[in-house]
Amino acid sequence: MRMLRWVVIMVSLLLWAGAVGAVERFPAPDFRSGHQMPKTEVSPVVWAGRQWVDVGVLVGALAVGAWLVFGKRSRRGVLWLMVFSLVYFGFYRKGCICPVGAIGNVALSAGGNGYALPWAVALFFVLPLLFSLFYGRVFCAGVCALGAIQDVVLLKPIHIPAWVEQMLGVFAYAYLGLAVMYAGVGSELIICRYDPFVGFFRLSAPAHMLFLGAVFLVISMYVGRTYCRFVCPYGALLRMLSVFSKRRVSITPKDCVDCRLCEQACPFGAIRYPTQKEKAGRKDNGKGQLVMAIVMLPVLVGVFAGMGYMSRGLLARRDLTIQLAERVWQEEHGVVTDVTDVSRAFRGTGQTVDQLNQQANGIRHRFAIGASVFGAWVGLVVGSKLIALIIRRQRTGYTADPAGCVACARCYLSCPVEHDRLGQQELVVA
Amino acid sequence: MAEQNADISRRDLLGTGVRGVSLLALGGVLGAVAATRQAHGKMVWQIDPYKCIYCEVCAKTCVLNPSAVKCLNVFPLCGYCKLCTGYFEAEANELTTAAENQLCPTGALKRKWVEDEYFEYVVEAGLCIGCARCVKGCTDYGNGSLFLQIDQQLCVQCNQCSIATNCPSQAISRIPAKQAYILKDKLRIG
Amino acid sequence: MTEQQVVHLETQAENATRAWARPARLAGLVAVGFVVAVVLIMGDSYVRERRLNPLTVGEIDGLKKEMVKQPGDEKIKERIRRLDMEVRHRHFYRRSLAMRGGWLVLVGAAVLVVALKTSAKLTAGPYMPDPNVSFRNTQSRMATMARWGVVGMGFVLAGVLIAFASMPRFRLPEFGVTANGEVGAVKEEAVAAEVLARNWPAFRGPMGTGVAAAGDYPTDWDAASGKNVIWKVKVELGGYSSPVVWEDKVFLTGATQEKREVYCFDAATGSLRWKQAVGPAGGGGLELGEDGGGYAPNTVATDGRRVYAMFPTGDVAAFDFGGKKVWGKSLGLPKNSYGHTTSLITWRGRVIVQMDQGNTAKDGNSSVMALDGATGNVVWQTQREMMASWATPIVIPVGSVQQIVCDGMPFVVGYDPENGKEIWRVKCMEGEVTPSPIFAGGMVFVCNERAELVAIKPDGKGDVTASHVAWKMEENLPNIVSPVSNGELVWMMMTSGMLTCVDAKDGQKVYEKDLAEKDPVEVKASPVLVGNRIYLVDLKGVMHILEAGREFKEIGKGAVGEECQASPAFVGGKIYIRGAEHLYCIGRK
Repeated sequence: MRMLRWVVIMVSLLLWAGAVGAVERFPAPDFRSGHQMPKTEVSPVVWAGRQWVDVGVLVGALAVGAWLVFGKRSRRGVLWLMVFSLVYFGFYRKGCICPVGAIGNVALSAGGNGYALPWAVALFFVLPLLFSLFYGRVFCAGVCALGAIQDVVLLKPIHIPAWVEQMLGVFAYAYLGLAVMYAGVGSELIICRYDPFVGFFRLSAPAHMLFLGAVFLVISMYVGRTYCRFVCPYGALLRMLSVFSKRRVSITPKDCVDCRLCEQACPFGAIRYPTQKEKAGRKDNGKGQLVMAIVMLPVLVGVFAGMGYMSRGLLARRDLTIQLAERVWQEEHGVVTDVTDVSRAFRGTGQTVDQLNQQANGIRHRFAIGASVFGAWVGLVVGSKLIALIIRRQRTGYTADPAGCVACARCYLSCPVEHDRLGQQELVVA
Repeated sequence: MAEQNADISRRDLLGTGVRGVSLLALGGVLGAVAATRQAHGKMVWQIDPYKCIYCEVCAKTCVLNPSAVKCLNVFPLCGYCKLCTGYFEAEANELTTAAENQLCPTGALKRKWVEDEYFEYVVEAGLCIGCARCVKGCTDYGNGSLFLQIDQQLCVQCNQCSIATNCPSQAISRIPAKQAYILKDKLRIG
Repeated sequence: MTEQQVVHLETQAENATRAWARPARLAGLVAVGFVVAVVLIMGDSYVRERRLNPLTVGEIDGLKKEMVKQPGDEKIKERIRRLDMEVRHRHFYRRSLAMRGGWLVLVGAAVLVVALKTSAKLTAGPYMPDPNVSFRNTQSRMATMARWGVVGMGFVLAGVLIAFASMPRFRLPEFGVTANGEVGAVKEEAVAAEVLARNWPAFRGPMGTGVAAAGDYPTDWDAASGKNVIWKVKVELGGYSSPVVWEDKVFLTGATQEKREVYCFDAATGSLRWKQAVGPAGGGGLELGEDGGGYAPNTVATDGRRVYAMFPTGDVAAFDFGGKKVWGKSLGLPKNSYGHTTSLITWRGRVIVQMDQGNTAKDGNSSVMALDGATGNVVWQTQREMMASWATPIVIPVGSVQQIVCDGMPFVVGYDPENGKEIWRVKCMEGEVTPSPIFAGGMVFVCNERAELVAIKPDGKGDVTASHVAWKMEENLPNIVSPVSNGELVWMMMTSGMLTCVDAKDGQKVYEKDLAEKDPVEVKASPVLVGNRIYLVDLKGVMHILEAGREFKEIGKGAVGEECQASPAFVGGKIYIRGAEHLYCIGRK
């Protein structure tokens, strides 16, 4: 049976070879001098086990980060962890793989594009999220190289108003949606493509990439972690999960004494002030707003989904197959008289124009769905954010907002209670 | 006071619930990976030389400078031609190694006399910038033994390969690292 | 230690740390200067590299072109070598600079960050409460503003989406989805027949039969006096290939044993728009004798998108109308003692190459193939059991389908242009087949010296030698010049000047006329039928304009005063004639 299969394969190979004229134009010589042909040399692949080392380092860094933030409460420790991550995940591993970019791989694989998600990438995606369910954003604190490079350049933090913070924060969610859509339809991984810092890590990048990175870094000197707060799609995911985190960063190690000293300690605007007692009448007003916002949510989702659907065409035009199909169409219909490398290459594949159009139509169909979902997502984000802002929580004492806090541990030292604790610790040590 | 406590415990309950659900979801991601995994391990980017149309995109769009794409010569396929259309300009003045006759802009393709009319052509990877001029000459008019491959030692395996994004013939894809190179074994015309 | 002493010590320590702030700042400043300097140097190097790198040295390219023109000029070579050396030297220098510079910037930046942070830390004041907070109303006001902020962001995102939606969705109509859910096929429309008829896209015109659309063409001209000569331009390399005209462009080829070129002239002014080389330098071993077809006998063909050229070396290339090479390839050196002369034709974006070669019919060397016009890839290839031949195939309509008709030795064969499958064949040819087949009045006419003039009905299948040959005629057969027909009469021209008119219905001779009666006249170019006139150019460049009737009648004469072997092109009232050295555009002035 196996024999037969081989025969079939050999015969079809021969036929195929004959059909396409697999002949050398100039036959290889027989060297009379006995010259030995050199072997074509190729460099070996980088050791495949290295990715498991990376996963190990990630787990270790996350665990150490959680311990430093919650156990040791050490800003200095977090800083050194950050430097380590910047060197290891950044400059040594050249920014790949990272959980931020892994969003694209997960979406690509989930979209059913025939892409098998490697284990290491899946773990890179899952582990920081898992940690965030228990320890908040410790990943951002000391493990993420992108966060680290911004954090170390922070010089003179400007406190931006809370409303600007909330407003710009929506963008990260929209970007997340866009990135998931493009990866999900199998078009491209835009997070990685527009990663502003990976060029620094590789010490080599196209000029526009370096420029973008430099702009982010310069802004980050004053507006702390600009990319993390307003752009990072993984940060958006972590925000959502951190809200439900089991342990939260607490500015004070014991009870808040309302000394107000930590009010300006957070460069990322994540410290929430204690609330005042509200008058009874105002609370009703808040309820009315809340009801309206909840009723509006499905409407918002629907409207945005519609707008997303309508913009599917333009969104799809980034796709290379769509571009190719359009180009070929133009050529076939005499709109243009020249050919591009792309259309020439397509014709070289032996695919028919019909097949290409079928394919393009399939992708457009996917984009129609993807764009609608993306639109709905944006509507959902805006609506939920509104609801979250309407709900008023009673807060006693100063707390770190679990979503916005990147667990950098800067605020610890502003707290007199912490100083007290450290003093005691020193006493204990002494 | 009692009301506040109730509020807090309600929130704790909510938190625990969401945590549970999220854990399940994350577990689901891993489960899905386990379920959809095929029998290949690490993947690397590589060029299919039979799809390559030898434009200059590899030289120009790699995030690395110089590009991680290098030219290779498979010697059993090479004709050892005296007039190598991968080595010489289309209208070469003489068949010598003088700069004006060479196609390679960096002098990375070395020509060495073997015997009679036969010459050996070896690519010096350190000089090669992956422009594919020699590949074009060799494939269009010769045996097609010169072709481009991504050097797996140099490639940083970007998640979104910049060359793949720009490649007009979609010749670059991820292939299993176990077989990380696609070496040519025959010329395919048409 | 007294309390005073302790306080004193503390302030001292404090002052000491503060004192470090200045040097830290200074170090920071130095680091800034260093980083900026390195970045500037790298930036400068980057810009220079962008402008001039081994891939973009236009000067070298230009010099190399010049060198081709003046192969002996050592100065040019010297300059190329120097320039090449310089460019490469700089390139690799910059590369190492970029590498080292990157690390230097990194180290500099690290020093900078440490210095600035140290300085900031040392001079930092104590933690202070937020000065802007007035506790009373901040909370609710901030929340309200944040809500508006989010609403505003929602509007911005909505605006972006609406802008996306209102932008043109596709540059082109969305591919239609038909009722049954299938994608409506975007038809690969061939260029419409009337567009073809307006042009002269290949050897012997739109149909390849030497028939031009009627038009106002002059009947007398003279290159010496310039009468009715619109322009005349020197063609760099000679050749027997004919001009091809597409809209405002005239294409031509020229070659020597060493090099082959395609030219594009402006149809209105005759100025050279571009020229491009085909194939590598050197003849690839091609050597032709005096009686050969020359090094550029194959006429180019265009499908309205690209122009395709072939040469006796077996090199084929396609150019877009701007002169950019789309593809080029070698089909191998044809085995042909006079040189491969068959011209290219196109069919629906494909290039048809008839390659009959070798001295025996069954050596398996001969074939006909279709190349994809956009890529040059072989779409199909069909073996032919033929000896070498020199005729150009034609595409003919048979009922609702089309056929490619190839004349060869010894068969005339009709092929399906879709897949190259043979439809019919007639065994009727002898000798060295050179006159091309024509098609008129539903009939294919082929002729050759030592064979016969044969009329074939092309609607058969298989070997139709016995069934589909309408008639044969064996007088005054030509050895080079192709016949021409208006469907009623067929004219044949012998190289010696003997013109024979035959009735297309039955093959009866209508008249014969020796043009060489008085003066010696030789003809190698094929005639063109325009309306009711036949234009026939002789070897001396004299165009004989005859009436296409049952009697011989000469209407006029035009002369270009140099040798003519190529068939002229007739487009829009203008005649394009290729002489030995010049290309002429003839028309009423």
